[in-house]
Amino acid sequence: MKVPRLAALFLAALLPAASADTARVLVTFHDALPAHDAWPATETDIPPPAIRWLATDFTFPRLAQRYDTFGIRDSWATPMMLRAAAEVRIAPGPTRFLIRARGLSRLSVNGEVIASTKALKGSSDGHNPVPPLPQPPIAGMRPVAYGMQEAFGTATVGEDGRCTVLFEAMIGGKKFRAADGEMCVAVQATGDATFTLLHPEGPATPLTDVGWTTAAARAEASLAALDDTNRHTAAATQDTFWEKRHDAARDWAKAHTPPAAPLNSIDAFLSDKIARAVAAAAGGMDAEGESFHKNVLPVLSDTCFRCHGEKSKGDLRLNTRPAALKAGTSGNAAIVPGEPASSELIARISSHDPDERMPPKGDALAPAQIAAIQSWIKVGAPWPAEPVPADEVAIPPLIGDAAFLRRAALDLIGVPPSEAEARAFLTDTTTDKRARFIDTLLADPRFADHWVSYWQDVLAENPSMLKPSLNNSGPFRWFLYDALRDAKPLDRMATELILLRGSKTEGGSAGFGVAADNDAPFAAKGQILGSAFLGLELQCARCHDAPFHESKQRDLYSLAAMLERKPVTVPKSSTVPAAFFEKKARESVIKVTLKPGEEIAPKWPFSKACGLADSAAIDSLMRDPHDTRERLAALITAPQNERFAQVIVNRVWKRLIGAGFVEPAHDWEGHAASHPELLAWLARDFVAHDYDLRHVVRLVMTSQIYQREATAQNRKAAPERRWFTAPDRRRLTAEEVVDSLYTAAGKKLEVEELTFDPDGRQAAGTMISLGAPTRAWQLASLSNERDRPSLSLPRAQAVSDVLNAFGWLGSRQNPLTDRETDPNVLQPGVLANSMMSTWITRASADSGLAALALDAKSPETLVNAVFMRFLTRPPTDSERADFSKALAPGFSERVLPADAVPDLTPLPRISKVSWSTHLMPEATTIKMEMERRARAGDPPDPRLAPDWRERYEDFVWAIINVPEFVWIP
Amino acid sequence: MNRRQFLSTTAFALAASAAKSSAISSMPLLRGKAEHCIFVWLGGGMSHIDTFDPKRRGDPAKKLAGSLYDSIDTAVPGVQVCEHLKKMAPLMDRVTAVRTLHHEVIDEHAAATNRMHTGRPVSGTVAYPSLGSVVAFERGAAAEGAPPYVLIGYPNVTRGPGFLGSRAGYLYLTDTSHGPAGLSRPDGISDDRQARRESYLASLRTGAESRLEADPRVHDYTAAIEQSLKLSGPGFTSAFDLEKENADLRRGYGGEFGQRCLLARRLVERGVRFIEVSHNLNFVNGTGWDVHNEGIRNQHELIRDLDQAVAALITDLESRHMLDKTLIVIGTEFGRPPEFDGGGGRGHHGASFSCVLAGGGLAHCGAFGETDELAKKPVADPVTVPDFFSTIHAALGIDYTKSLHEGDRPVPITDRGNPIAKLFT
Repeated sequence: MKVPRLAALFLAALLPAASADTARVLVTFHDALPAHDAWPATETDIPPPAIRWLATDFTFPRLAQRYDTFGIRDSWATPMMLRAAAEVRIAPGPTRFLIRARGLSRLSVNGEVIASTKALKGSSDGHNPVPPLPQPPIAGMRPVAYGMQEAFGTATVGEDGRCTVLFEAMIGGKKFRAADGEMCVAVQATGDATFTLLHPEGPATPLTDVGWTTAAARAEASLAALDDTNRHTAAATQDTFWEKRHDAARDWAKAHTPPAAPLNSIDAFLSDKIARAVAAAAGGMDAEGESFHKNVLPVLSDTCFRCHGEKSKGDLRLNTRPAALKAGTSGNAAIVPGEPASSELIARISSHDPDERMPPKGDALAPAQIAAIQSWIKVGAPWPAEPVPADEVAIPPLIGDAAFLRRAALDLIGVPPSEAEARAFLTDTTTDKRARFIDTLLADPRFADHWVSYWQDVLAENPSMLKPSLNNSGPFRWFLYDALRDAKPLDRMATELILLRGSKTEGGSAGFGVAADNDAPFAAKGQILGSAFLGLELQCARCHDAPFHESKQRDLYSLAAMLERKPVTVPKSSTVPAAFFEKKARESVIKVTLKPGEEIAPKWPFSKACGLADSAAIDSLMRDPHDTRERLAALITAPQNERFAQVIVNRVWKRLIGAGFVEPAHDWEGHAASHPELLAWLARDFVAHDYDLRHVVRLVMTSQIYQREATAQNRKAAPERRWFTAPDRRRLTAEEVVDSLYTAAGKKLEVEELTFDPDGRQAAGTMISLGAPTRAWQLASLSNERDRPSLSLPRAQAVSDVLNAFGWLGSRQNPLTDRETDPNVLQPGVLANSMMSTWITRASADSGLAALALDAKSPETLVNAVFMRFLTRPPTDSERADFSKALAPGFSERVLPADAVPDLTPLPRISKVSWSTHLMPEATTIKMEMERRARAGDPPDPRLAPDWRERYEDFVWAIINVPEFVWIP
Repeated sequence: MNRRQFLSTTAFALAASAAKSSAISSMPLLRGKAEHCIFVWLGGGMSHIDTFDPKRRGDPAKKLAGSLYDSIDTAVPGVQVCEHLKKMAPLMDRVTAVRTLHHEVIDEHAAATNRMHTGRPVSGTVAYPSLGSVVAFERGAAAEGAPPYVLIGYPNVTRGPGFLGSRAGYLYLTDTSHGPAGLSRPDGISDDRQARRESYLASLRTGAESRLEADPRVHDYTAAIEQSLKLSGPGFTSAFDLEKENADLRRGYGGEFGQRCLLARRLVERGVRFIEVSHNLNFVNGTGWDVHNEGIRNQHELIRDLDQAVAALITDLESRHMLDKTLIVIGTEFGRPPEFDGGGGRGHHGASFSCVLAGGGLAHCGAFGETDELAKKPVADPVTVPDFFSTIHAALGIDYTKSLHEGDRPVPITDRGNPIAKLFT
């Protein structure tokens, strides 16, 4: 077989002469080839390269990421093609080459094809035999990876020791997702030597397990940098548009900020509210007033305010005295001071007529409660301001440096600081070190890791590894992660989310638009956008007008239609069955106002709630004012829609302080802000700073309130008595627990790749890979609804167990702002007993704990180090004494002499299981062995004497089980 | 128009509907006496025509639709089961195979599994709780110190608590070789090591932590530590030690699935309210109950395994006078058609399929509902999925007409199902 001297042509055509880098491998990626099982007939049949990459060697552990024109993740149009070419220096004479690929590939040396692999074949069912374990070509080499082929060929290298190498591979196909596996070209120096990964020149990396890992990591780093560049370049094309928008937003903020505001810091606003409340109550209160606050107001508040306070049902509010003296639609005044018998309120709460009685649902008021309200009205219904107890507004002290350090690191990057970072901070004597520390971590890429999971919850990111079902979305986690990594302003992130761009199945914001098994997906997404960005809870409106909200069914479907870019039809299953109303004796609190089948046109429904009407005035915020989807994004993110900025800063505040100004943070209707002026000020400041999330975080974290002892109970307080003297106590989130454990133990999070298709035999619409997680947020529902052992992922399950116990939900069928935080037995249980706890507390060879123990100077320094790593504080004197004593026996003999160190025999390789084999009996036995290995955990470091090591591990176990570990100081 | 006016002008319409509603509510609530439920799950879709709803023999080689096996008589005259249910056949008077269940979700196992765990279609706005979670929520554990809901199988969302939250969630174990995840001591941690760990922990907790533990939320967490240590201590975890059972009894239950059933009985004795037991021993035939193509070749092994274990469970419970208070349910996501596919196996079928009830103090009749000549459609007494769920609730003394609440929103406990009244006579 002869092909033209493609490699030479290829290199000549593509390597710009000026920057010709002959020591590199030029790799190009081509989209949309006609077929995965045939080569293009001529060079001109190959689509121009979409991406070019200069690689170190012929190691291709993954494809470059494809981005759309906004820099949002996109899918490769499969089949796609990879070509890699280089001028290579090899010793003259016959040389053996090795190629590894999943599908069709070929290697040409000096224009002649010397090796090839076959085209990828499909396997839709799961009954394919589990392939035998591949043998390495040479003992000690890494065998070909699961689901891949290898082929050999020989070429004779000329006297000049130079040859031109071209490797080409077809990846994916019309029915296969783009996944390349452990693709590479290797070469053998002499007859029986280990193959080395082909490198243009110089020393090469052997194709062993260690060699592959090293080369793959090098390639990965290079690809990550390439991806970043490509993403940034694409995103930059939109910068002008956003600069214009932010100029306008700054102008708007300037025009709406009072020129000489008396209050201009978070702490000033907070003190001001306290001072005003104390002054208002200075007059004191008589016995009748006290009785009102003790016996009457709580009853009114618990029973009536939901409808007649937060809302004005029947045109009546009861939450202030002037309002309560008025009449609602009944025509009678609710309260007539001095005359209980004429007060409609008394008539209604004492009525026995089910159509009359208030409250309309649940138990009637107790006679004693009614009597208390009667006597209060009788004495004239006094409603004095309540005194503010001094202890309620007392200002707690600032926390010390160690506590600050732990709190700030967890809040910024989701993990505690390293021992070195901690020591540096604690010994730093400069006065601005807290602010500098905050700035450093704001710039840390882990800031994105920490925030992505928050948005995954709020936006109901709910991917499935197999066939989308059960309200699954696409994995738009990657879109969120990139946006946070690149510090995209929040208005831009929200806009690009709403525009549903890039790949549905492989990480674009288009994945947000997917809702499997959902009868009205765009209504579902409208509901999410409402609660996430506007504090509007539209859940009820899916099927009926809301009983406790203003929102109508029509509002939600109008919103859905804007998002879908066309009128939407109310599905038959999104309504309330007529039988429901037939059973009601009293008029139902809910109403169905849209008929199933009704068509609703796109229309902005929230002019009133957001204070911004749709008009041509906002056209300048759009690229295409005729696109209702973009219009929706613009209406949500326009500076004139103050609701958006306020909802975002309230969310940030709540996450850092433990309670929002408005609670619940996703449902603002009828819920007053505790600090409306501060909220407005923060929101305008956010707008004035280009919607920069990091700016708000910095502002909050550098305030006094953030840095005080977390002893306040803001979350439970009513808005008027929520003072924010200090933060509330917060427990670590599930992700913080897991990531902190791995970070403190100095261990890599290692679980299976989250896929059922490790051999790339399925289409991306059917199965995807969510990758091998390195941080907790990257886990997902393990999708084993089929309950098949062969589909289990034991290590990922072990980490999920810990996450689940602490309130993480892998399956996010609905948006969630407030996770469950109540304690349960599984929380301490998983820290004490889970597989993951075993992995973390073991001084295994790959763990930082082993290194720490091997290097320790004394039991004291070791105890200090463990405390610092896990709890970010030195031990107290007695703790140091206790545990130094525990670790002292055998300390000096803890490191075994080299000749006494037992060999660690590596476990025999086992095959992988994929969808294509999972219905074979052997697949189950392989998974059972994987579970057994997961349970056993990594072997302990053999250099440490077992008796001493176990004592050390038990000390670490105790440290992670102490409640302090899971609470933010 | 105010509310009073509204009421007066619409009085007639309301009176009419009130009459209708009183007819519904005047039906007496059916209430069984079962205290516990063991829910056996046959993931993949049990072939009803090859098990509890046998029909004339077919032949895969000739593409002749019908049962794959012969039928045998049972303790209930006129009720037959397949020949591989030999041990259950004489016990069918304690059993009712509900033969006319039906739903339309047959394309996707996850969605169908969800339907048969929550009793409802997937909703766009609510994550519904599983049957086990509803029972756990409504009835709690039956004894102090026991969890209400234990799963022996793989965790997944269809088995979860949905909007009821984690207090209605499960503890799980994937097989009987270990106790529940998070509450059983890791392998290799001896009593001595555990004691040392706990003494280290105690010393840390009495140290500098008192200020933190003054916070009520932290205090609740430390209370959870105590509970957790108790649950993972020798008391409850001894339930998982099957070695304590008589060897003959253990053998009688059969292999791993039988041992799971035996464990379920031990958990019932400890006060666990609901136990879901997976029959997912896919190394027997690879596919479990999802017998497409050659997956059907060893289907009889699965049936025999199920037969032995469930028969042993019924007999064992009966001998301990626990059968009447323990409802056994055999559930699956759908059935299979009488026709054979290209490989001699079977596809999915939802228009009619069987789930099974046993014990629980019900008035059993061997089989309920009648299907056509090839078990493709109900011809008498169709039972909807909500009916089946409300039958289980009724058997467990749970008001099947009540609503649960997701926040303010009332969610009927089943999708308006009615129990099979005949079983409560």
